[in-house]
Amino acid sequence: MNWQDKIIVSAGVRFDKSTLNVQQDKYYAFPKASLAANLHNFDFWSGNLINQFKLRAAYGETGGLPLFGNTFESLTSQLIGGQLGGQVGTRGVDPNLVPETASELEFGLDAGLFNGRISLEATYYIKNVNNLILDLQPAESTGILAIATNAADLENKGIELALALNPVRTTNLNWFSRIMWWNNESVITRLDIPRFTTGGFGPSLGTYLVSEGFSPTTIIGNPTIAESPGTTGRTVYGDRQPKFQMSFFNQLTIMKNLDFTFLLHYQNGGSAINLSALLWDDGGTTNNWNGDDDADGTPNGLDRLLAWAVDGNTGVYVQPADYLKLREVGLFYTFPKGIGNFINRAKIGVSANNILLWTKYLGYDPEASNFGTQAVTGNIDVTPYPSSRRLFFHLKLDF
Amino acid sequence: MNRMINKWYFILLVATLASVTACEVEEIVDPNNPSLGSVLNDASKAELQTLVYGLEGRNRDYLANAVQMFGAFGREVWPYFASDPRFIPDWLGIGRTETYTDFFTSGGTYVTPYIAVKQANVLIQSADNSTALSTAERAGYKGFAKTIKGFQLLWPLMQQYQNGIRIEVSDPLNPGPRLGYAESLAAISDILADGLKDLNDAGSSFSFVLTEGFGGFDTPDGMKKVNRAIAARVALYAGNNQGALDALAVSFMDLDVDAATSDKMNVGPAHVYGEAPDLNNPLYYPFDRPTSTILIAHPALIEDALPGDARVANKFARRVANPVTNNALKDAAGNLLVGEYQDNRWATNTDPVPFIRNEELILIYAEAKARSGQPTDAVEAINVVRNTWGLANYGGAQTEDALIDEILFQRRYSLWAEGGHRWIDLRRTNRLNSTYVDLRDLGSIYTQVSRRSSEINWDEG
Repeated sequence: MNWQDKIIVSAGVRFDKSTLNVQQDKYYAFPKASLAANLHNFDFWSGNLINQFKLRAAYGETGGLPLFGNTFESLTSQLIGGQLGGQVGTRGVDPNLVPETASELEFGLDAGLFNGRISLEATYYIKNVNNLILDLQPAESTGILAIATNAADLENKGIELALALNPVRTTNLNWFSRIMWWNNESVITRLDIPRFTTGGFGPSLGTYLVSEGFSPTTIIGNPTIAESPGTTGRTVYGDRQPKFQMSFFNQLTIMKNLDFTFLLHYQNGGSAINLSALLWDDGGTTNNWNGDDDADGTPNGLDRLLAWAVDGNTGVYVQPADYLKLREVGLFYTFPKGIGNFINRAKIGVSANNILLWTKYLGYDPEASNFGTQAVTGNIDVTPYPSSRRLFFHLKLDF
Repeated sequence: MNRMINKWYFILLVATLASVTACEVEEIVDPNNPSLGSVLNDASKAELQTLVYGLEGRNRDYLANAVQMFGAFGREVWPYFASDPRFIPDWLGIGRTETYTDFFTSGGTYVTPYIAVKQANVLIQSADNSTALSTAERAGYKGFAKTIKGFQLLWPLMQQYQNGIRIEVSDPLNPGPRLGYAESLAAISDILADGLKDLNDAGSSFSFVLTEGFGGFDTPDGMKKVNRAIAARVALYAGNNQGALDALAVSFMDLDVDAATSDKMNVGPAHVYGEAPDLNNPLYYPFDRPTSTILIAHPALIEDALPGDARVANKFARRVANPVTNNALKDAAGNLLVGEYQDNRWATNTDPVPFIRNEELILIYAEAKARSGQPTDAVEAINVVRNTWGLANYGGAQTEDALIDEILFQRRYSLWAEGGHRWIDLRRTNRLNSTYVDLRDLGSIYTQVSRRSSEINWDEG
C-alpha cells in the first residue's frame, strides 16, 4: 500500500513445506512486513537543505531447513563373508524437529542533503535465529552419535551506516565517495545441548566455543582454568568477529575521460587462530623471530614457542587480525572519439584486487583460512593460500 | 461487453485459486539407503537376514582396538604406530599415569561395541514386530542377537571397569542408569541367560543364515554352546566358579586335545574377513616389510617363554631385515627399544579370527577348578594346554595361588593378542603391577579408561 508516496506499507506471509523437514507435508508460515514514511513528502516539511528524509522499519522471518540426511534413520550396507549386511546408522532423528527461523527487525533512516550531494543511510537491526538446528550428542552408549535438534537461539545486533558524498561536481572533476561502517555482535542466548567446541585442531591449537552467553565465534584454548563457567574449562582468547569494519570507496572522473577508483577496507578487532606463526616460530622463519620486544634476551619467536609448548598457552597464537587493505584500485581512460570507421568507442585501463595490505598480523593474510569461508569455523590459519592478488589490463572496443 | 469480460476473468481467477493451492510434496525416506523404519515395522525374512549379517559385521569392529590398546595396557604388544604421535605415549602411559576423558583412540572398545549393541537391539525389536515369523523362528533371531549383545557389552565394561557402564541403552534419549562393575557383569550374565532361553525355544534350525565364521554353530544347539562359552567367561570374571563350570559343561569345550590335534584348540566362532568392500583382518601385517606402523609383540614374551613352547613360533615371527623403532619408545638408558617380533598367526589379510576358542575354555575350566579346591582337575586341564604346545606336565606347587600364577602364564601365551586378556586377567587377579607388567618402556599401568565426555555430559544434563 502506498499513500501518496508518504506512507508505504507492505505485508506478506509465506508458507513453505519441504521434504527436508521431518513433517514433510506440513506448512510452516513465515510472515513479513515493512513500513516506511517519506517525511519530505509531507506538507509540514520545509526547507531545501534536507531534500529527502525517510524513516523505515521492517520485520521478516525466514526458515532454515534441516540438512539432507538429518531426518533419515537408515541402514547402511556392509559386506561380510560375501554377504550383504544392513547396519543401523549412528544418526537418530528428533521427531519434533522443526525448521529454524530467522527473524529480523530493522529500523533505519535515509536522508539526502544538498540536492543529493550527501546522502546518509543508517540501519539498526536485531536478527534472532530461533530453534537453531545443531547436533545433540546422546550418550555414546546408546549407539546413536548425533541427533539434529532445535537446540539453540542466537541473537545478532548490528549497526550499518553508509554516507555517500559528491563533494566536487564540476565539468572537469567529479568526485564521488562512499564511506561505510558496520558492526555486528552475536551471542548464543539459549543452548539446550551441552556446550561444545568446534573447528580447528583441538583446544591446544585453538578452537571455537559454542556455549550459552558467548559469541558463537569465541576462540578458546589452553590452559585449563578451574573456575571458568561456560567455557569447557578453557581460556577465552578472543572472538573472530571484529569490533567494526569500514570501507572507503572513491571514484574520480577527471576531464570526463579519465576514471580513477579505489576501495579501502579496514577491520578493527577480531582474532584469528594463527598456526602459520606456530610453524614459522618452530622453523625460526617468522618475520619478527629475531627481534626481542620484551628485552628479556630471548627472541620473540622462541618466547612465543616456549609459551605455547612449555606453559601450554594457546593465546600466543590467537592473534589480532586488524588490517587495512587496498582491496580494489582501477584507472581507466575512455577515448573521446571513435577510432577509424569501425570502432565507435574505445576504453583502456588497468585495475587490481588485494594490492596492498597493512597489518601487524604475522600470517600471510588475516582473512585467509584453511577451511574456507565458514559461518563459525573460519580464520584458522595453517599457511593457507592468501587472498589472491590480481592485476587486470582492460581493453574495451565497441563496434 | 467490457464488464462481461471482467466478470469472466474474475470467475476464472477464483477457480484457479481454488483448484491450485500448492504442489503436493511426496513423502520421501532416505533415497540412498533402506530405512530403519521399514525393518522395525513388520520386517520380512529377507530384511531380517540383512540385519543378521549387519550384526555379524558390527560384531567384529571392536577387535583391532581391543587387541592393540588393551594389549598395550597389559604389555602384550607395543603399538609402533607412527601414524599418530599419541599412540605410544598415551597408550603406554609414558609421561602420564592416568587416562583422560575421551582417551586417545579408545572408542573402538567403547563406542563401537555399543553400536553393535544397537544393531542387536534393532534385530530383537524387528523380530518382535515381524508377522512373517513363527514363535520358534522369532526366538532364534532373538537368541542369536542377545548372545552377541552380551558378548559386545563386555568390551566397554572391560575398558571402563570400576566406572561401570550402561546396560539398558535402547532409547537414545532415555538411556538407563550406569551400573557398577559387578552389577554390569550380572546384567550381562542375565542377557546371555535370556538369550539361552530363546535358543531353547528356537527349534532345530534357524530361519536365517550366518557366515562361515559360525560354521558348526549355526543352529540353535550350536549357538547355545557359543552362548554358554561367553557366559563362562563372564562367570569367571564375576568370580562365580560354579557358574563358569556349569556353563562350560554345555559349551563347546573339548578337553581331548594333544599335540597331534592342536587344531582343536582353535575351535570356536570367528569373525570373518574378505577383500574390500568387505573388511580386511585388522591384525594382519605383511611379514618383514619396511614400515613404521605395525603392532609388535612385547619382547618380554619372547624372553619369558619356556624352551620348546610351540606357541612362540606359531605366534611370533622375527623381523630380520626390518626391525622397527620409534623415537617415543626408549629404555631408561635412552636407547631406542627395537621392535623385533610381529604377529605370525595370519597367513593372509582375509583369515578369520576366532573370538572365543576352546583353548580359552580349557583355561577357564582350569581356573574355576583351581579356585574351587579341585587342584587335580585344574592341573589336568593345565597339562592339556602344556602338552599340546610341547611342554612337559606342570610340576609346581598345587596351592591355589601357584596354580593361578601358572594359569595366568599359560593364558599369556595361549590368548596372546586376542583382545587384551593379559591386562584384564592381571586386573581381576590383583596382579596388575610391575611384577607382572614389564615397564622397560618407562610407561605406567592403567587400571581403566576415563569415562567419555558424552556420558558425563548426558548425566550432568
